[in-house]
Amino acid sequence: MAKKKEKEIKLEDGQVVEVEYDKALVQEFIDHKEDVVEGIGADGDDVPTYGLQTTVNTDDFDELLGEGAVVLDE
Amino acid sequence: MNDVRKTRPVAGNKYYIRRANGGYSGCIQGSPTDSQCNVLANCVGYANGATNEQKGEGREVYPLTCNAENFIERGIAYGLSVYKNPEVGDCLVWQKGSTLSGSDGAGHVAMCTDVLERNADGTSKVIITSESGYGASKPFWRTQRTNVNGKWGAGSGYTFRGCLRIPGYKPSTVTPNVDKDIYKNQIEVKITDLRVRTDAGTDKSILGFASKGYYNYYETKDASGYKWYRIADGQWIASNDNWTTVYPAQPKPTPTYKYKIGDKVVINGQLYGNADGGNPGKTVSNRVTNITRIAEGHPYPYNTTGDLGWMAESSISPYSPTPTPTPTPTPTELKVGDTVKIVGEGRASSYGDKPVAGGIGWTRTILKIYKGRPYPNQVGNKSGTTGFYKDSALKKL
Repeated sequence: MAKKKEKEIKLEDGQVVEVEYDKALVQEFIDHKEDVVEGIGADGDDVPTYGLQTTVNTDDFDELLGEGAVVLDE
Repeated sequence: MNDVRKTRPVAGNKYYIRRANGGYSGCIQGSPTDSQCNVLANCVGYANGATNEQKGEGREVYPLTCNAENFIERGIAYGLSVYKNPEVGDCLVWQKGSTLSGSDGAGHVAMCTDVLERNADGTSKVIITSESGYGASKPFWRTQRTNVNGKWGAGSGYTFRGCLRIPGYKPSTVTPNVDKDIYKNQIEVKITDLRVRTDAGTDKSILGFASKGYYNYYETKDASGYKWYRIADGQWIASNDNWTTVYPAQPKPTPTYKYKIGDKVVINGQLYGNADGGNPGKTVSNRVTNITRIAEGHPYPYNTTGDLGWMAESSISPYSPTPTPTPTPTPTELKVGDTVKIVGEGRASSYGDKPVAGGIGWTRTILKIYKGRPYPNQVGNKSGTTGFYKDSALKKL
């Protein structure tokens, strides 16, 4: 996803962000809030207009899990 | 807000059912599609549902419907906080590959349901996550994750990004149940969701609910017609034969230990991260070391030089050095002039082609040595040659 020109993201009261993040992508999500809320299934429409998962993770456990991980149960 | 989910969501839970099917979720359909919750199997469908279920407003307040690795940005856009270290209720986010575009992998998300161990600075060290995965053979599973390399148990292709947290979210403070321990005062809760109150008495505030299992208790009181047990500070449960069983602590036998600190031992077998057998580590074979610590009352009580890990007594044997073999004495080489006793037959020629020479028991001197010949040692005295002998027929005096 091409980066847009970054501008400062205004956090909400009480919102804490301790990690690095893609500001342009956050802004893109903010700009498309209306599409996300109204465009996906609000009236039973199954076809999203924006922001759905486009890539699924099909890694098996050997790839998904590494050192320090133990699958416990279902 | 609700407590974080620790069990598989079931039919009718709208946080895990797509809007098109009457639920709250804007996520894509899972695969294989779960018959009860159709956003499963999929890590995104599960984490989105669990986060919004915690929020508990009967709608999808946080539409975490995007690729897993973009949860951080989507969460920030919708007012979620992001922390470096997981706590109960957080959504852990991993990136796959080097980009956030999804072109090199979708990433992964999972919900932190328990913190099992903490580091000295109070940050989480071992956690349990609840999660799902697209294409997985089961729609829900739990994973114990130890942060040994910054990845929180993810595979080598993943990078841990951070944890989404609902601002102001506080998980239930009801103390978790514990393993049965006959040496501690314990009470077993036999029903689901026994009320936990801030003090003894049915008029006291309900703090939360104790689930089935064992709880240590530290104090008792009689109030409101019940005997009450304090299972943590400010946490009391009422006892009744129908829903609890009380197990007073039994006296603990004084443990005896075969080894003491400083003993030199040989260790063989599994090492553990703690004396209770948690965090299994590497195994060692025939390693000679010394006992450095003993954690009394634990099943893996011994630690050794270098803090390799904790071991059971059965994995340890006393060190006994291998006896040094007595060196075989090197035969003393005979030389001209040596005084020798004749102990075997010789010959009248160093080539051995002449008659037998006697003299057994006589003391003589080596007059000359013909190296390479079968009977090389010419033996005699002032009177002349007695005979020619092999080394084995002569004893040096």
